[in-house]
Amino acid sequence: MVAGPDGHQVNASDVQTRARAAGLALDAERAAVLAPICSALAEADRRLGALPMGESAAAGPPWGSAERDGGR
Amino acid sequence: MAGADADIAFRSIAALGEDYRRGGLTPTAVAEACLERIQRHDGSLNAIAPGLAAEARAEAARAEAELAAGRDRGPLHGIPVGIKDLVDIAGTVTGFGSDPVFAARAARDAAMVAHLREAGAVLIAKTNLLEFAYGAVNPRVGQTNNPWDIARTAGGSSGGSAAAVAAGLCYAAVGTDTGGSIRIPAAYCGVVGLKPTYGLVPLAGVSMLSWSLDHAGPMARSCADAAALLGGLTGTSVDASPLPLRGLRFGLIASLRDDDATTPGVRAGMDSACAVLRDAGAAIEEVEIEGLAETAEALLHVLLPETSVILGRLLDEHPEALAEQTRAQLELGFALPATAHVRAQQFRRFLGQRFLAALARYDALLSPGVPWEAPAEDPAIDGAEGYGEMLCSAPTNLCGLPSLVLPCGRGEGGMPVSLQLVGPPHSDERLLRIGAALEPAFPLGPPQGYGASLSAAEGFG
Repeated sequence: MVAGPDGHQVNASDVQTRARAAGLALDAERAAVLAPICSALAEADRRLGALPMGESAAAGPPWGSAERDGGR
Repeated sequence: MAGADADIAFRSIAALGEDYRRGGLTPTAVAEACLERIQRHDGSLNAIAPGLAAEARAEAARAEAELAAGRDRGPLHGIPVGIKDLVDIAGTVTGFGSDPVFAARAARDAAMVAHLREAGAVLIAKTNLLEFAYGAVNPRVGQTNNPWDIARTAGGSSGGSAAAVAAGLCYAAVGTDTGGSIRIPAAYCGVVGLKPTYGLVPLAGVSMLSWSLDHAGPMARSCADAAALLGGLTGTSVDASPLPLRGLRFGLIASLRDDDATTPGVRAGMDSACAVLRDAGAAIEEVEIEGLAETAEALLHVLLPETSVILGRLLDEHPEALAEQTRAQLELGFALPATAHVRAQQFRRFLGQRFLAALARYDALLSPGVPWEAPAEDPAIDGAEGYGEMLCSAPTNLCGLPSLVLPCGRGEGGMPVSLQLVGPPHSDERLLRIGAALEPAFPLGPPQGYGASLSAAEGFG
């Protein structure tokens, strides 16, 4: 299992807590199925966070704009 | 395959239109031929959702009457077109590639369907798809098989559209593309697929997965046919006359061609396409795009939460009727942090600016369409194989850039392999014109991997 961004694995309990906060009740069995995928995606998020994205915006045209998103 | 039947079934849209206007063929005769081919071949392909035949016959008769009366609606007039079964057609049931418990009768036409009607197209059939276009086969619908080898998938999620076009069941078809769902099946089935610039084709009346990643576009047997359908979808005229290649500059995305996932056959197809371009006087240089390695997972951080907001109700309604993978993905979208979603949205603009910086130096960027030939089954989107399948397509869903996939030969397994051309925003027509200049070098001809099936009539019409 891959570690999350804070160095901890995302376990079934984490998945249940997150899902419940977003409005979905998950039993422990289903949460356990999702936990490894959540861990892998957390690791991917950590890699994205390491990119030099600077002040790139999270909104606007999907191809970005030269002024805000790194220039061309 | 009967010679005369195949001659009509695989004719170009332009040639068919000439026949209509000269009086050699009629829309009703061609629509009937398509319906007969569907009945004969769809038992082995499973490309077609039931229920549109009567309407198609009526539309063909109307198109024919209009032409006879001198009303000419243009290139798509009387042309049989397939519609992915998540696009609403007024008065008919939209099935979403899912269990019938989720099916819904549409009250009105999707915006793109209204455009197609105005262009005179005959909506010949609705085409099967992966469940809600979300990556998994619902067992009540089943897999769409590949016309080149029915033991393999046609790809997803627009596999029904790709297989129907490749097998000559219609002349072009509509697909949708959120992570590669036009381009992956187009590549697997050896047809042309265009994911247009984000926002170009209207999505009102189309079942959504992701507001920020969804696109709709044409799938066809040539760039000219794809251009005709794109024109119909947008209510415009799209030129697909071959662009002279001499003097054009292309950037070859080396990391995608050389990725471990890319098979030797796909690499050889890419090399052949590059040789054709160079021989025609184009220049090709290798380029790298920073961040490409992260795109599949970044796409999931955008896609999963958006889809769970849009389709999460399915978990309340009939979770047992969903494919297990669909259910798991819907649940997963509730369990990802908002910060990761926002960071992935930020990454899209970062990546987009890197693409645009490269495109400032080149007319288009080149990559494989998919790193491999069609497999037996579609991989799950949240695993290594799913990431590999989206390797070349996901980046331009994130960035919204137009991307054209077209065949460039066959791989080791005898299946089609494909090339992808990526251009700047709103270069859709130019990509089709480049593709039109390139495609004569890679004639695949009709596939031979499917045959008549006695069970084809089951559930059709």
